Amino acid sequence: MEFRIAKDELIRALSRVQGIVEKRSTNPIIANVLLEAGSDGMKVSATDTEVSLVGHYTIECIQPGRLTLGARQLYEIARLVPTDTVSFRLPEGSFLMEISSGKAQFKVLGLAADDYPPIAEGGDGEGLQIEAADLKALVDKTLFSISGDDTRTGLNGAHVEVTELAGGRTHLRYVSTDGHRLSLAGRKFSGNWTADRSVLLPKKGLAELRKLVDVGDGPWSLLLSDTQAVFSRGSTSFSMRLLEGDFPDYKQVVPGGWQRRILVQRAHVSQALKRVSILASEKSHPVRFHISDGTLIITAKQPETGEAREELEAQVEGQDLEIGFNARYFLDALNVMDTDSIAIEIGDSLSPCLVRPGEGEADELFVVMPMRLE
Amino acid sequence: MSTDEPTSLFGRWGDIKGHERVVAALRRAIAAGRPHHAYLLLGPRGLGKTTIARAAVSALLCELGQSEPCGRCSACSKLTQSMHTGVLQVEPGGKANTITVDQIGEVQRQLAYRRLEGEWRVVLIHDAGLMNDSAQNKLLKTLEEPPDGTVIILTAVHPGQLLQTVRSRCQKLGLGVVPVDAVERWLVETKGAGPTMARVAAAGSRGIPGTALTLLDPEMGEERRERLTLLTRALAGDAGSIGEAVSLVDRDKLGCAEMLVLVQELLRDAIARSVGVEASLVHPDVSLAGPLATLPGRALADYALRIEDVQEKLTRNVHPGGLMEGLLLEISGA
Repeated sequence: MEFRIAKDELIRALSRVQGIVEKRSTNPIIANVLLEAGSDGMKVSATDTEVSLVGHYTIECIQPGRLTLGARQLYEIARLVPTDTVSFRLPEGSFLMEISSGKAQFKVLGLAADDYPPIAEGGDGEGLQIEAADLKALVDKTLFSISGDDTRTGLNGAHVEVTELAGGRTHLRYVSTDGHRLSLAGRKFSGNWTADRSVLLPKKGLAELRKLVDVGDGPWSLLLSDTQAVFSRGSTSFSMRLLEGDFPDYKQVVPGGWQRRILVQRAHVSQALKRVSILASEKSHPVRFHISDGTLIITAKQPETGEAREELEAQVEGQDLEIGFNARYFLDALNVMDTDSIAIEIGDSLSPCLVRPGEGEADELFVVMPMRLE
Repeated sequence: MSTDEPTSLFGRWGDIKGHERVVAALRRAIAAGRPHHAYLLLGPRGLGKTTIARAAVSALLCELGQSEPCGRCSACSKLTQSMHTGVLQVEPGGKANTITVDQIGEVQRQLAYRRLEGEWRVVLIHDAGLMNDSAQNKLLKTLEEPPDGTVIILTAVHPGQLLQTVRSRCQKLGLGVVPVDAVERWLVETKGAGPTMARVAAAGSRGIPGTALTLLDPEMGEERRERLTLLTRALAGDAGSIGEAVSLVDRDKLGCAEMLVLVQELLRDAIARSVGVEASLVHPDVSLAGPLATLPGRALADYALRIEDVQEKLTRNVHPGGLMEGLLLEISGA
């Protein structure tokens, strides 16, 4: 293995993977990056076994080969070498990579490439394609309501599926729930869904993906294998391991009709909830919605601290009702919505409440379970 | 040795001394591709629980799936270097030497993912008896419904260290002691011990191969002889020796447990001598004095039972020095 690479290119390759490699693992190879030099360039892969990042970089390849090297150390070397070009040479059968730049020389001991965990890689344009803004929306609208409890198999990730909507359109849908609320968002895509059925994507992987989607533009490709989901754009592939388990049948949780409906400005409810919940208990932020005579009033009360009350301008349909909610759950949903107005659809005081955009045709809804209040 | 012979392996059935019944059951289940979802390997320290567990891990993960792990495939290579993503190991740590709820939580976080490589994934919990109650309760959920293709192996000294709910969800594999002459042969044939050393170490091992290996180490042998001399004096009522023995184990649970085993061995020899069976002495070279030389066999046997009591107390939060002092005073004052 022998190649030359521009210092800036090497820094670019290594800085991107620093956040991925795991330094504290008992598995020593996880702290390494996998370098694979070929005539078409160099592939640099990093993984912590849960998420992986693969990038392709320009090199002058003299002799192809593969080796893993300590990610941190290599990055430090790349940043501090004295010249603009860095040479790498691995003698046949050796694990000691010779790195030289000007008069500086390093010999760094690596680990065999064959021992690196398997990393799935997708090609640009394979599988299904989705616009960056749409992918970003899907993640933002569902990430927050994924259950944080790892033992709740099926709820600890975002459920991703392809759904056929009325009118023959198909959407890529993300759904998540923690048992107290549920979020659903769908967006258009092109190309093909490559799995047999739905998949469950981990919270950690989605949070990492979200950071990548913000940088650069152009559509992303999604390719699915039995064990991993690979998101790729240009020369970058980001993969995450799929979760075990089946997501519950979410359609059963989504109310099919309503007895009371409130059409209200999103910003108004959001601000009122923030103000009123100052006087709600900090543990579960309980607030009460009062629907009476066509008005909506939100209150909070704690015997030891006091009470708050705010009346909102809203269009209210249906009979009078009092219903309790965790203000936090409502605010989380309102935060990720886009429309000015929202519709709140309520059955009775114990049935799930639906929040959806008040205008437009977005494939998007949020379910918030009510709280039983004293 | 031919050059393509594997130099080292994470584990292999051939490394195990004795325990034929347990090993056969495990091998059969693994070869048939139907291992139980959770095993609990039980027996004293040094008996071979970890060796068996590691062999099972190798056999499950080896890509060739032969009766003995091949040592050459990618899985065997990764296992040997702790680089296989299909094995999760948990062991006690920290000041309190326990397995915490956070460690079990991390296992569960990993198990939530689909397997990255291989047909099986193995969780190996060493010294599972040192899980605190909340860790055991957290593990229950996983023992009840492990993800497909997952095998959980626990090792423990005493079944009583584990909650009934945990025990009942595992297939229990109890390991008996290995016959002393088999240990002796094993030391000579595979560990390169001389016949005299092997005989002494095997006799002192009480059928526990790991102990026999430790005894082969000259330094350990020397320390053991010193402790035996100290204990014989202490048990004969020498106040200075009692004080010294107590200070040696004062805040050291493990050291206290080891010393209790020595007391047990001396009692066993005293009983054997009292009934005139001198052939199977653990320490034929140690001469006994005081109560150990004079008490009748039945009284000595009662003390032997008392030691099990003390061993049990030691697993709880009791001061080791105090326990040792109480025991030595009681026997020496008889």
